[in-house]
Amino acid sequence: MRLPINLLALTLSILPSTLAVFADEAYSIDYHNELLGLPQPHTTFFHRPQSEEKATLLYTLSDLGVLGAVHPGTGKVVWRQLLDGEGYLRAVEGEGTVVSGTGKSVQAWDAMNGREQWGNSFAGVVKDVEVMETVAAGEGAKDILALFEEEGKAVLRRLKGASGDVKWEYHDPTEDLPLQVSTNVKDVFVVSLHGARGGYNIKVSTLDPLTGKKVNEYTLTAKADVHAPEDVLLVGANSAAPIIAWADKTIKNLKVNLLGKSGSLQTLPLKESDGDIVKVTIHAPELVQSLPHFLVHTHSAVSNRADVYHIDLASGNINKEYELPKLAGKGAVSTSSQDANVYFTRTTQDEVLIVSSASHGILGRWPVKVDKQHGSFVHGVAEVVKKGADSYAVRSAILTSEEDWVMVRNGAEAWTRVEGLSGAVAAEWAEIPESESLAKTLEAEAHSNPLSAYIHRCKRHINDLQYLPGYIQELPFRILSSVLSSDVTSHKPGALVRDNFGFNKLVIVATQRGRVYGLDSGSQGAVVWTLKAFDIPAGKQWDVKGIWVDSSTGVATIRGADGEYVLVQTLTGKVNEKMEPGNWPQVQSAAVVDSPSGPWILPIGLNGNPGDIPSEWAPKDNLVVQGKDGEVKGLKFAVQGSLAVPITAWTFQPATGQKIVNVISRPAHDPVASIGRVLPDRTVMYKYLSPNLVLVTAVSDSAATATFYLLDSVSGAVLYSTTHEGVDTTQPITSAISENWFVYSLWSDILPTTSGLPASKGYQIVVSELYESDVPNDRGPLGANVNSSSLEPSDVANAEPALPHVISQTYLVPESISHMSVTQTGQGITVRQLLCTLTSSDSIIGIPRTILNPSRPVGRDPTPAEAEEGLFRYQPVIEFDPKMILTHKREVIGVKDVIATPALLESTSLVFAYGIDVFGTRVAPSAAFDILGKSFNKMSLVATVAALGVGVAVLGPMVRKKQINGRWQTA
Amino acid sequence: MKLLLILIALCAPVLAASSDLIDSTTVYIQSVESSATPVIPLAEIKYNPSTLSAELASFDFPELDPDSKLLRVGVYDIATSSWKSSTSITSAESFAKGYSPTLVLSLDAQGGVIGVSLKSAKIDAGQTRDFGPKVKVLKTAKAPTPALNRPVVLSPEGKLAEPVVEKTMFQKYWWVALAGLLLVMSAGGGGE
Repeated sequence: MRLPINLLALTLSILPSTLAVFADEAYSIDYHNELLGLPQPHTTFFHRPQSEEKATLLYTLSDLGVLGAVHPGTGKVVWRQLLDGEGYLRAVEGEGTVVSGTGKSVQAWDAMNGREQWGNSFAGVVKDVEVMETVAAGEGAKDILALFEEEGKAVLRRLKGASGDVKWEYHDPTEDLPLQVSTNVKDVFVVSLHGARGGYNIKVSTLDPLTGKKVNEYTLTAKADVHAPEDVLLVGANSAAPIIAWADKTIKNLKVNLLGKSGSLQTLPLKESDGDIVKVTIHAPELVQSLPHFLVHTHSAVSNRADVYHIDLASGNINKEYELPKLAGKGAVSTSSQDANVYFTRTTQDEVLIVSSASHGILGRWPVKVDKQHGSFVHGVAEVVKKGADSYAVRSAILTSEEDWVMVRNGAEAWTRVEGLSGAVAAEWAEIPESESLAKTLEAEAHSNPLSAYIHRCKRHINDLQYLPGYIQELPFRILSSVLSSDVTSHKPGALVRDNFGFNKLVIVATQRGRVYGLDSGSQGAVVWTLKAFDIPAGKQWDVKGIWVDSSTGVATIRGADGEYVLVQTLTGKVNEKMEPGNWPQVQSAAVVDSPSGPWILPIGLNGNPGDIPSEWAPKDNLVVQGKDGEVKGLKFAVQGSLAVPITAWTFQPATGQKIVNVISRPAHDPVASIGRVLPDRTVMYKYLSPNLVLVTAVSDSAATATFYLLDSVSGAVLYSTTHEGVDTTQPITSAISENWFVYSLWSDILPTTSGLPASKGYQIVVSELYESDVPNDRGPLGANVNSSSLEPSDVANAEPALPHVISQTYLVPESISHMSVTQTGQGITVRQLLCTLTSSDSIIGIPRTILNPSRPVGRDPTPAEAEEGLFRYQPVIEFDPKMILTHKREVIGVKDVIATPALLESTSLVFAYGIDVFGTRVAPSAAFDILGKSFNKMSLVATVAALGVGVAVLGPMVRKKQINGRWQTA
Repeated sequence: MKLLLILIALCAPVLAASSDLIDSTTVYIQSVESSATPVIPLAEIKYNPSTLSAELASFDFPELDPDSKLLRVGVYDIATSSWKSSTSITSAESFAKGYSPTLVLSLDAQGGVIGVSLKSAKIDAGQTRDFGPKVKVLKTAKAPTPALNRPVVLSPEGKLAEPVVEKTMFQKYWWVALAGLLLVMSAGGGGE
């Protein structure tokens, strides 16, 4: 006896579909990592957002171009802004402002709330931003110096601190590479590199800060040492005596010049300890009132040490004052200034110590108590507070080698931000691997002879008895917790086990920095494990082509563009197998295929060529790839001996002038509960359910058209095509296909030909449904066939080729949709939801399919029969109701992709979004009909049953007595 | 005699249409299994890209290598030895006895050929006499635009034009009924 699936589907369609994230579910079923990206050493600092208050915030402009303020006490993000890429960030000392320079623009931000105060864009690219310090306080907002590279030439602009307007401009006539700008209040210095790549001399131009006119210029010979801009270690910030420093070729000496003093190039020897020096960093205070001291931190392979130098302002001499002894391992040094005092904080694996720049006496020392999982310290910023005469406190925000951002407060770990998780490029769901032992035992018992199986089973049960006391002990707690706990789905943190509802799953996330994370969706997306799969060179991104999780073995395979791959155990993050990039051919894409030896992830080389494959691993089905010129090809594997050779079966080229921008197919898990749609007159339209549908998007930039082609991936036949005119092809054009329908979204203009009719320009979403025939209760050319072939002749007499009957409707939507995907549930009975990423409002919306129904009656109210089938009147605009926003109040930035997977409950689909941020939630598009919500009061149910039980127990004897009495008394 | 007339009447639209079939293209086929096999012309299609009417000017059942199972169908350029259009594949069984092929020609919005596909179906002589190969034309459709609401029309006084409510039958002709009733009442009282 099976419950008819159609009946269930009908019941579900009558249920009201939820459009809402319920208030009591928000922040409980969803999780969100507000990430920034990796903080950069030169753009991270503590700063007082309100100059009159002591409290500071931690500011950073990350490698992903996210500008953010973090509360140093809690580690929570106070505000964030997404800028265009990496850049420069400076705090305006004494004012509640931070200034950023990214891409072409310079922007000033209110340090307290992150609102933009002003922004100004120019033609060139920002090379440096500096705050122009004033001699006296109270001269109004401090001006900003912004260095640009315009057509290979340096341009320096002084921008007014209040408005961002240009005060003066300085154009360098030579084609020298602009490096940095610096100032010592009296003068402005533009440092540029003269020469060609591979050997540069350093040119310092001195400008008058009031007029921007060049006063002086000198060149420092550094051709043998400086090969690239990165070789210049430091161009001193706004200290009283700005310096420029670089190391010689062999890293034996440090060359230092006081900016503005052309004659003084001093050579400071770098002391070696434990072999060659591998890294030198210079730390100097940034405040104008700070003492002119700096620290040189040298790393050898196994240890690190530091020297502190003082600059004599009168003579311009640089003298070594003292040194910090060598300590094993890696360490981070950071500078902190308080009034004129400068403190250096040295953090190594074992201890944190602070020294004053003036003398070598250690002011404070704490042992480091930080989780070893974070790895070694790479760089950090520190804030030293003098609490008493000689008591100090220090907190430092340090980036570790495992890409965590850790706050170390007096040696103890205060908070950790998993910033390495930002910049995710690929993710995939994975089931938590179950212990297979019981299943194996049961299977073994089934195959052995009955007697031995019986004995084995008895033994197993006796063996299981040892767990009984524990089970009985735990039983009251389990009952109590299930009654008292409001959330039925909560589970113990830390325990990675499957739950009865299928909400606990793993997400494997790969980031652009070559790191892989395993997250537990059941415990608010907590990081279960992490590993550095590959070292990605700076400036490059790991291009992950595909992740495939083999649920039978619990192993995830991640394939990258340079032929690299890594096999990771999904439960532990242990690497089973690894291939470094460059050893195997380039990969254009990767596809999960089914072969005679089981499913696997097939890498497809350049120009859509998967190459020859051993025949036992050859895909069973056709493969759809994109060729050299973007054309879509259908590949078939022909077995030749032990090898399977790909043959191009068919090719699809769009109409002339169009280029293919996107090719999508139905999701791998796309079950269909009902094969037809019931019309109001109780007839049925049969769905066109081909598993081989491919939707191709082609655009023509010159003709401003977007054309969508629906192909059969087996035969390559064009089943349907539709075109839009007046499309802005620079705006996102996204599409999704599932079941018997597809949707796409684009920006379309008013066409001159439709001038007579009311028309509109804006973002549109178009939904199309495919049916087997335009006549109800008729399957058209497919007749009564259960199966049909795209290639073989049809057995239905005189049938035409089976082309779908398509009905479409277009709606206007208020904003652009950058990505679309569809929810997935176990049986497909639950109505699907379209998950759309909205970039401009940093959110994800779930649009129910009932709204996106092309059968909605246009220009009239639905008849009662239509209303019964869930149809309601067509409205040309779909308003993005805040109740449909899955991210509710959260701001999820930089979402690249949204992936969905079914839970065990039919009502629920798990959703995970990644990009810069990570967000996950559960959606129940047809309401959670198979699980009790939080509002269900188990206490009152238990109390009612108990009360009734008491009532029965009390009344029972009374009634019995009365009945007996009644009999006796009447008789 | 009658039958002939009906036949002529049936053919008339086809004959009339053939005069405005302004475009034509030749469809070629090739065996998929090996690229060395020759590309052979299969049919010539005459069509009209605006009315989407089409007919087969010629159709030659190909002589196929018995080993070939899959055939590539498309528009071929003999001059450059390359496929001009998108190609699709079909089974060699499509040309077997007892089956009749249908060609589907896909056109873009301007009437250019995107691709050709071919699919056969069993011939049932009981239903039709038309056993020959057929042709069908698909054209890229213009996508629907949002069905916007009509603009609000105001009267010269700046008010919404009130729709005139249609009077019911009774409201219009109540006096007829009244007259009838009066007649009936006054006519009463026959000699008793």
